[in-house]
Amino acid sequence: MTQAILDDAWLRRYEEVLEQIREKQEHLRSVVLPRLEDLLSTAASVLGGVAGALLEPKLREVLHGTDEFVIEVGVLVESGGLPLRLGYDARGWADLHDQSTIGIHRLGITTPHVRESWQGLSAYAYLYVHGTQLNATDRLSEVCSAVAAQLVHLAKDALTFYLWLLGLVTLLELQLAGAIASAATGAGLPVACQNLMMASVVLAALRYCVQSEQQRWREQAAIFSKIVDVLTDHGTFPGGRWPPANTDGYRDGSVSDGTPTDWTAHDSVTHHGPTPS
Amino acid sequence: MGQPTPSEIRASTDAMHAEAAVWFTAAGELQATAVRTRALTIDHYDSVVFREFIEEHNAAADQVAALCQSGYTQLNDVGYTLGDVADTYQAEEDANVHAMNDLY
Repeated sequence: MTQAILDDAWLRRYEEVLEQIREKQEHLRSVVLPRLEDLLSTAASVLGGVAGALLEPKLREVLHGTDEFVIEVGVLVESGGLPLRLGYDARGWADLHDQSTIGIHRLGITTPHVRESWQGLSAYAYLYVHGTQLNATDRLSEVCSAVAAQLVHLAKDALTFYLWLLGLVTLLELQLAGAIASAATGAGLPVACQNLMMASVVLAALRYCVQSEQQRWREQAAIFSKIVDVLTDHGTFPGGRWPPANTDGYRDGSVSDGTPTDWTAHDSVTHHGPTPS
Repeated sequence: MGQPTPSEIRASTDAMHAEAAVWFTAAGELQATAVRTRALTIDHYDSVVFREFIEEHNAAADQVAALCQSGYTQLNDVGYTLGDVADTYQAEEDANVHAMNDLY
């Protein structure tokens, strides 16, 4: 089940990326945004009537977009712990799969002895129930494996998303710093406008990136909904419950009670059955 | 296929007890799985991005836990039943009921 395990190096990398985004978000909030606001309030007086009028609308738009985005990034970074948690949880689900597989193996080796040493209606009823129980355990194991694999997939995609986020936030930070520095002088006005245009494009890319991420999580929700469907499948788990043991069909150990549902030992015993662990 | 000897019957009932023990072990594992699965549910995250996913994820974890808990009961029932059957069969064998009535 190694494919369901994210190694420690990967998980540390994820934590580092989140921390880097957190630092950049804080820098944008506490340093860049106040400077943009200062620039906006002084644009007209510093740059003069026409220049200020050219710069101000774009500056206002970028300021507003950045302000909104800084809040959203804050929430995303705080929530970034979820994919990380899922990455760790994948190990737990993989362990459950492994444990179930051991259980299946253990149950699977029990029947040969019963087939060899017992017969009668009860033996056949028991073998049937054995099959339904084994099938349920098998299905449970498959589900645990599927969940583990899906969580690994989710966590890996989440890291990709946060790497994109980190790259775009860095780009936004650079463009805004360039705009602030250039706009301080009238001569740098064209460069400042160019920076603000780029910042605007980066903000649009960030919005698209976040929307795509939202869509991806909705798709994952749908996948998990299907997993629940498997766990309530009537064939394996009737009524969403574990298949019944139906012990009435094979609880008759007496061959002298006059009922036909007996267990009957025969003489082809070749070994002494499974060894309990 | 002839009549089983008393030692063969003893081997069969012993094996049935051993098989019952396997069911008890498997039942215990299912119960442990139920406990561990409950620990894998996710409490709460602020972002709306995750809300729908968390609901479905937790529904899956809850269902696995519920199945394991009911599986624990069913597998134990199988184990107890096999144990009872082996005891009853061996008691009748020890009382010579099978041989007297030619009931193998």
